[in-house]
Amino acid sequence: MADAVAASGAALPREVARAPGRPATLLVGGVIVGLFVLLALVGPWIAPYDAEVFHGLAKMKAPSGTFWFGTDRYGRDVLSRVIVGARTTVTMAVAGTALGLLAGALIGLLSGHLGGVVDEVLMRLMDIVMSFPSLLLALLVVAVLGGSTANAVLSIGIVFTPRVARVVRSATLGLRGAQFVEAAVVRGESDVYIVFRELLPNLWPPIIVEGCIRLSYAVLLSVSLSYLGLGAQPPTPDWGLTVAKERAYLVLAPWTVLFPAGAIVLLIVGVNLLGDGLREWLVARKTVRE
Amino acid sequence: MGLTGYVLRRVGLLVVTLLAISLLISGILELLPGDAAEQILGAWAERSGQTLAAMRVRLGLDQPWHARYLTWLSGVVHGDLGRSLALNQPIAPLLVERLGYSLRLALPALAIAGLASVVLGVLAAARPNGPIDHAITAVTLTGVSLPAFVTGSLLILVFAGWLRWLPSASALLQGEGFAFWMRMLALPIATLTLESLAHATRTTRSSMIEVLKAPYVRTAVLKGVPRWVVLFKHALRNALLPTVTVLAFNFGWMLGGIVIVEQVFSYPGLGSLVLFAIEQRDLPLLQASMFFVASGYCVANLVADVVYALLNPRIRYA
Repeated sequence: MADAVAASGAALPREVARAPGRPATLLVGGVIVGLFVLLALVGPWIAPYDAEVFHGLAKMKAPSGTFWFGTDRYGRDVLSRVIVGARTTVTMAVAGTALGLLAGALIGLLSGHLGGVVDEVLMRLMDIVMSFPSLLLALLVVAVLGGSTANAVLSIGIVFTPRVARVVRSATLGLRGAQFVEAAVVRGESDVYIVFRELLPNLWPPIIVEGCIRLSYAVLLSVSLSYLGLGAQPPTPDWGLTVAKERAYLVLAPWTVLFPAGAIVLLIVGVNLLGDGLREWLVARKTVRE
Repeated sequence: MGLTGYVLRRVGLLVVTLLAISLLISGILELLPGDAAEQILGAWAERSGQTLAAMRVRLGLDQPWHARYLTWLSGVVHGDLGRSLALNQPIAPLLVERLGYSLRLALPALAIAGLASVVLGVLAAARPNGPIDHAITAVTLTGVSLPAFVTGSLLILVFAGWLRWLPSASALLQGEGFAFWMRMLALPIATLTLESLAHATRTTRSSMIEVLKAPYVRTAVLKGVPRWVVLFKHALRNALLPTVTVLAFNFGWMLGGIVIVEQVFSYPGLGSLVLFAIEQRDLPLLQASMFFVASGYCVANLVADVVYALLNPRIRYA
């Protein structure tokens, strides 16, 4: 038990702590996440103002009919910046998660299917990577490669890989000795065939659930990296970056910080709800089948 | 195998892990473009190849990386972590000083989170799905959904900005005494506490709900033991095991999360030192501080496992 807790490492505080879900969770979570994905896609076209334009006569104005979320110290429209800023966070989180899932699933499948020395070596390697606090590992990667959106994605992928690999590996081990796998072995199918055509199609549910858990943590990691100045770079109106840049104006113009911070929180809540809903849905589906 | 054997095995594993970590860090840093000699000489390095070569020899950079790694490692074993380029001072005392600052945040946060999570978890489990449970769930879940820098910014806005009770940044403050430290540490500690509270609370809650189903609890209730005695004396003792482990792991997590909290409050701890090393591209400092924090994380995890084994004798024979 203790080792199992250690295995999931630093990400743990955010994973187990989830509310028992309700049927509406999937819907509400889906709507929130869908909204943010939409903003990420078409943000610059639906924002009321250009996110970079200085409104010289309206600096640090409180929210009003003209500027719904107020303006910052240069007179830039906060609402537009929040809308346009969705893109970097959503992209970093989704791409980082995808990268981690891809690499982790591949390693987990190979490790679980081949077993023996390969399994031992790969898993010990994953253990080493996991013995870093995740934010620290991400920092190490961006420290070497330089702070940018692409490098933040890479660092999130690297942080996630061992955690996904463990989950996929144990799910693969669960299929060991299943009749359809043995049949494929007896037919003389190659390892590649068995891994991708026999094992992988049966492992989608755990991979999807893991992906949702990861996504919530990826949002957190990417906004944190941006906040530290090591993710999205200026002049991108990224949320984490904005909260950091406007820190000195927190008291004078709280709306410049509160709205991007609120967007971050709403996105994380949405992803958590979506993950919980999806997990319940998959469990329910499985129960119906059996 | 007894507890001693278990601990010895885990410590052996820790040494291997630390070696692997140090290898990984120095391997990754090897990929960094440019080296320490260029850092020191700056733009000047471009022009004077001779000086650069001499500096490389002086810093031992002409050696292959495995030789440099071994030199570094033997230094670490002897307590010498090298010199910081940006600060031009030995790294080891610097790390110890900063660790002291960071522990002043992490230890109180851990203690408060521990106490609060047990009380909140028991209260929530006393009536599952009751109004108190829902309220506690809502608060703890909000806590998980707020990144540390958002929680920190909100606390600054309320307590430093609106109420003007506490300072918003720690770095500029000078002073001594308990009252001074309380003012300086209150908000950062509150932020760290809120970040780690949720998980421990929910663990206590679910573990309590599980234990409350046990026959001996029903016996206690039926023989007329007051409800709070049943909760805090009979049930809590058995429900506490997972919470203790979670808290110990939380400490490890805090070592990572503290980077953000220290940045929010401009607090001069280990986390800000790591960020400083990244910004300054101070390779020796970066390597040493990363290794230092990662070691702390591993040791915290080890302590968590040992505490668990102490409390739960079954695990030792696993």
